[in-house]
Amino acid sequence: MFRPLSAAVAAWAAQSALDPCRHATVLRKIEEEAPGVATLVEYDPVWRGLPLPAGLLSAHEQVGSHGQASVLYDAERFELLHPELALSEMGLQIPGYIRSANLRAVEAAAPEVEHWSLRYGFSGGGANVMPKSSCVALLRQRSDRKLLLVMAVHLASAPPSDSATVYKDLCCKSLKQITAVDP
Amino acid sequence: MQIRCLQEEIGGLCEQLRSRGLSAKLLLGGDFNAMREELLHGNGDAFFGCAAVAATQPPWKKPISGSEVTAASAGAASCRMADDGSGALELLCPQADGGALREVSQPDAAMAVGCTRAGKSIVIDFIFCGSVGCEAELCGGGAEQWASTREAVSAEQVRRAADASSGIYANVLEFGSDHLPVACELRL
Repeated sequence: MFRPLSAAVAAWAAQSALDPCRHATVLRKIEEEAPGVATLVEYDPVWRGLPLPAGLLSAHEQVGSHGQASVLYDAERFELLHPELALSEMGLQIPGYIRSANLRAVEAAAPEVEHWSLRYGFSGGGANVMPKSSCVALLRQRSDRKLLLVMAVHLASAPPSDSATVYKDLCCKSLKQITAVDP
Repeated sequence: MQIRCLQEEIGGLCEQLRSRGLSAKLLLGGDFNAMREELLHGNGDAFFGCAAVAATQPPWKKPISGSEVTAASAGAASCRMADDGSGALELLCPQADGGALREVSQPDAAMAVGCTRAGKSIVIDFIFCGSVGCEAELCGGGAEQWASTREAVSAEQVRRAADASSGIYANVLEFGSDHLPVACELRL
């Protein structure tokens, strides 16, 4: 009884391993769809360390973000307008991610200061609420210079039986973290 | 509250673009961790009264009696259904053309079962499109004129993924993830 069970568990562990199985499966789907733009979430450092499809590797670039969200785009078709470029060319202030109300206010007053709530991963409670991961990228189509503002988001998870309280949990965790760092 | 934050950020970006005489298309995609009905109605009685919610497998549990819930009015302040009968969700954004971004990924529109999160018959991953400064080009229309759903998965793949007992297993083998991809076609 245990031998077939053990074999099935081992087979599942191998098939569900990120590298090479799941990574290869995701790459196959991306190659099949060949998107001009893709928004990714839960795109963590392990994923970021793995290659993009060979045919698209040189054509796609990744954009930085808050948390584990990212935007991929076809660099032959689109040009990324980095925040500095968007500001100097068009006077636009493009954030790298979706900010809380408090972060927006703080950055408007002193854009060079990194806010403590972002530094400590705080994302709970009223004006401090923000998606747990997000990425904002302003792209310009090379052929006609049309603008495309792309946003990838991952909102905090909770079942409907609990969704009104998830922010309190995040708030408590973050406060504990802050207390531990800055007693 | 996260949706509200999202609306405010997008609204601010639209204001910046519009005030500088620029036009742009907007693309918002990701895991919203909520069904359309929850975004529309919160998680109180209005949510649990929806047919799609009642049909979800495995069924949702209701909040414990007396616990705090998100009121239906909060949902109404952030989202609405498109008025063309398409079933598309719209994320309200007064600063965008037409006052909203429109859902352009409806993997469940023509399927008996909807699923973007394996192991449950729920759609929680969406792509919304909108624009700013494009009123003349769109002639009163919305994102449906330049963006449409792309069928990235088959009905059979969705049915397999939605299965409560084997859905995650099947989906990891099929797509390498516990989520299904959603996609749309854009014509900028």
